[in-house]
Amino acid sequence: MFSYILRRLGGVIPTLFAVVLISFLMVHMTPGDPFATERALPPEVLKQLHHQYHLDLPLWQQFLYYLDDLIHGNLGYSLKYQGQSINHLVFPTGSQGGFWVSVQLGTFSIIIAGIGGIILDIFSALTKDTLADFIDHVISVFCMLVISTPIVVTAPLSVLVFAVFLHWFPAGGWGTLSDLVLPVIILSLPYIAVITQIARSSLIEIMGSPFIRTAKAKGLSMPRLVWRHALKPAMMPVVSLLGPTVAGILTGSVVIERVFTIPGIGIQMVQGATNRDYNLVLALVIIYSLLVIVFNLLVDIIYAFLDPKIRY
Amino acid sequence: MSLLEVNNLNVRFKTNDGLVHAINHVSFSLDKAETLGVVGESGSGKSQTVLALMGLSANNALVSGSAKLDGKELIGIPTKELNQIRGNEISMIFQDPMTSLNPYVTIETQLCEPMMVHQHSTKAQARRHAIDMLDAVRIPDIANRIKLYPHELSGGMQQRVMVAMALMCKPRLLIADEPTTALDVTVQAQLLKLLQELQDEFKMATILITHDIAVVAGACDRVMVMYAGTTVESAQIHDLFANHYHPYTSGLMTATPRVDSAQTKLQEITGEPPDLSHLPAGCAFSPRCPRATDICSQQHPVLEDMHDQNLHYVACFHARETDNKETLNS
Repeated sequence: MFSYILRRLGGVIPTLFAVVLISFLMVHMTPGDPFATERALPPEVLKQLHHQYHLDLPLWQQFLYYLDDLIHGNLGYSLKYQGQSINHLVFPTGSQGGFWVSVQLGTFSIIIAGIGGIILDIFSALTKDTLADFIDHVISVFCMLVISTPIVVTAPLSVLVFAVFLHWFPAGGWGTLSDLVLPVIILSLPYIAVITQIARSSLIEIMGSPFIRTAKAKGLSMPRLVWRHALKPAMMPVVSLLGPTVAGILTGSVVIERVFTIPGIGIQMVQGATNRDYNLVLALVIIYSLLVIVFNLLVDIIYAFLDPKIRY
Repeated sequence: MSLLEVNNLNVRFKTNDGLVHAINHVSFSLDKAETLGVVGESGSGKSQTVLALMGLSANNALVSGSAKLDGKELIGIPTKELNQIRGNEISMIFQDPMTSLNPYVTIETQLCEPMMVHQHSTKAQARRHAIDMLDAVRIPDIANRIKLYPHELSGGMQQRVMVAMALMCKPRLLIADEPTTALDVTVQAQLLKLLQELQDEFKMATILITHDIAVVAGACDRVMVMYAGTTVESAQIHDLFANHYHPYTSGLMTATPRVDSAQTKLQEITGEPPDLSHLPAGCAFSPRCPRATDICSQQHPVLEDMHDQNLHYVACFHARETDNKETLNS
């Protein structure tokens, strides 16, 4: 198991190199100049700036400079906020913004998505074909509705209803617990629905399997049956969903942070892209990729933990 | 009084193609420590009969009739009450141990569960008893194996674990649904022998379901032959092998290979079992029966005592006429 994790971690390096190379090329190939402003800068100032950021060098030399910095843990300097290091922008001291804020938002959303999805799927799967199957129908309709509505719709709508009309929660900002409620719920809703749907069909299949029949023949009560015998195998497809869910929540957070004015890296991503702040965009792409890679590794480890047949 | 009394049991399945009549008017009884063999081909309702007793019929099943264990009704009672009986007073062993044990749970946990649930014993007590039971089903090297997952054991060993699990609460009735079908032949013989020994040791009644009439011959006191969800013949084992009256029973006998005869070609029963959603008006076996006459396709034969002192019951209009063996073999 330990050697497996080590081997997988070794595989992370080439993947990450490819990510850095491709995103570096794409960022630098975008048309326009990072220093282009409405009022043109004097040519000598522009030249000085380009020189300062190595932008006057051939692309491959720029890439080597960038790699060198990256290996030393330096994500470079912002092209927009001059003199500011990206490290400081993304990982500010005192955990007051940037990465730390987005991590909180994402972590809460994943936890809510997981717990919500599992609870809903149990109710849905266990009421199917019973007298209470309206519960299953209601949950299914809810899932369809939530999945087919993008968060660019649900996010402003929730602000309108719960902040502007009802005044239950603040319309935006960051800092208190009530600031968290709306963005976390809106961000996790589609994933609650996806997890519910996947886990529901998986739980229904497991509940019909011979070993559940054996457990029933032993006279076990329904809660014990589900908790001890059915839930673990039924969770296998949900675990494999964790990778895509993390990726989706990361991209979703870009929209959410903008709507709820949360000072996370999602908002920095949008600003970085519009400002052609090469180093900022690159740094965030690398961080996002690293998160996705780490979570995919985590999925495989959780698999081995859940399924006794999987041993690395 | 007999231990188990099944009266007019019916199981129907609601499907999109209409009602499927899986079990029709099945009645039988079982004494304490008696072994009843239930034989019949696939789809004859052997398994559905016992699943109905255990309350394990599928969601779309309509179960009616009565089944009483020591006078206590089993059919139609709430799951909560049923849960106090199954796994405790009635236990069941299933066909395929590879899929019937939970692959995600250690055998220790699976073994301890019935005792912890029914007798509220502690994990330590249950574990001690589980080790005794694994010893009783002759699993070697128990101490090192109890923490294993099912897939780490062979099929035969898994089925022994199933047996041990079924015996945890000393049931009065053990139902074994084709316990040896998924195992290879040498293991089959060992397991059947083990079941018989355990039955003597624990003084429990057994229902042994099989499609192999040879298995029944070695292991049972009484035999019930089922066809298309009905009982066609029921008798003491020796009596059945000496005189069988129903043409289907005869067919089963001649379709079984024998080592001691020079017969080289097996006699098959021609035709297919009937569609359970469109049963024939009369005797369900009549379309395949070599002796069928007009009455067979018009009326249902009822189970009748053949009056030979051995409680030999047959459901056939032509049971008394001639010896079926001769007509079929000629």
